[in-house]
Amino acid sequence: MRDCVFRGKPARFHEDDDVLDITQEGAILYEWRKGDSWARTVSPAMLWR
Amino acid sequence: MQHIAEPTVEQTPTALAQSAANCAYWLETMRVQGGFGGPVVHWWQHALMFTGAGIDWRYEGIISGYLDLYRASGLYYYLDRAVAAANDIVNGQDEYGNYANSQFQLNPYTAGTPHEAAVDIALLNVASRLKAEQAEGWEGYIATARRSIENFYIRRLWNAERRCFFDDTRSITIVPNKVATLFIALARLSELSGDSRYLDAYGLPALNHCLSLQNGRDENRGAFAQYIEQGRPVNWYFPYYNARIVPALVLAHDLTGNDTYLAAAVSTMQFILRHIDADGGLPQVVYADRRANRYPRWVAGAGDVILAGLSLVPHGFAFDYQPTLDWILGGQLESGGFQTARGFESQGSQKTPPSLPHAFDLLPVAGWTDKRSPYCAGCSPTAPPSLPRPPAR
Repeated sequence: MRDCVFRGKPARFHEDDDVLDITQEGAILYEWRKGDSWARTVSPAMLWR
Repeated sequence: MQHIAEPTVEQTPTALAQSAANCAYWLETMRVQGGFGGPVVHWWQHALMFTGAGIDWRYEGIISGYLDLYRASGLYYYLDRAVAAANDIVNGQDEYGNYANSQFQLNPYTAGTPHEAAVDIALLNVASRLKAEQAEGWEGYIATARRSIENFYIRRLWNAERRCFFDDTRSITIVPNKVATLFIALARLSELSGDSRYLDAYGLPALNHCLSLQNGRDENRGAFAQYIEQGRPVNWYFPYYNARIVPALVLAHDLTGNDTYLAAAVSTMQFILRHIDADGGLPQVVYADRRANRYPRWVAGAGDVILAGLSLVPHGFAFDYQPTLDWILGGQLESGGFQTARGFESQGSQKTPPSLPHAFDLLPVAGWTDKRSPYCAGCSPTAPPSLPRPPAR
């Protein structure tokens, strides 16, 4: 688990052998279950330019 | 030599070997059906939703890293991984010679450049290694690369009038760093197939076309513009992408004996070194009017800068890779992967990034982490005889 920022706000990055996720204020911004061909969660904020 | 910095990461041969083995372990966690997957972040665009196998430039560094680890350690584990990765490529080729999901940040689409040429280099490197080992099956990898080059690059992207490869089938844009990657693939194919046409009729003319457009006049002398649109260079200079041109120019010199290529490579490397920061990182892009867009600065991708410098060392070029090696190794994550960049939070703003990394900085990408591979061999000539094997999952 690593502290980070996303769009100026604190967030958390986590990766292990099975999952990669990014959370912010308790909400999942991004989640990829390793082995899957599509991410399970991609919040709209992740896709905004 | 300039740009000396105190090493910040322990770099005994054992530590380097462990770092490489940890990364090899991490790569196994990135396996999905058909190959290496995971999200992609990039300067122009991200591919976050699609995380399936991408047969793109990630395979160039993944396979090169495995082969380097095999050479350094003698462990067949790493040769087996290189062959398995090459088989991903073979299985990912379609009837037209293109590869599945080869657009990296634009995935899932096919016909990506320079990605398919980088994939061909990976295949040809495996074929070369297997041939040297007198192992069976190496010819098949050459056949796959040849289909890609014949059916896609020569048939679709070659322009006989301009004697160069375009980046699109409408012959609008030429991208020098992509031509450089393709040049290496063509040279390797000529060498392994015995057909000099790939080098002489396509590779060298295309490289010469780009060479004629190298900047020779201002503070960005030595640099190649990011692309040439309808004959006019668009003067955005990415130090990182210029680094990918240097080994091609050195290879052209080595194959032809023409010193023009070597002088051009040195000039490009000097441009890169003029812009490298004291911490070993590079600005993202500099412009003809002296402006720069500094962020994000690539971490794992900086391996291509080391590769560029090392390609010149046998020709007498003094290159201190230590700051950039520190920069890369400082970005290795607990998982064994490497963070992609520093400064995504400041992309486009030029503000000093906050002390905490942006989430995209930390996100490890197979197609960036692969580029840290030069230190597997090139930076660790005293690599131990046996590398730690990745722990069983």
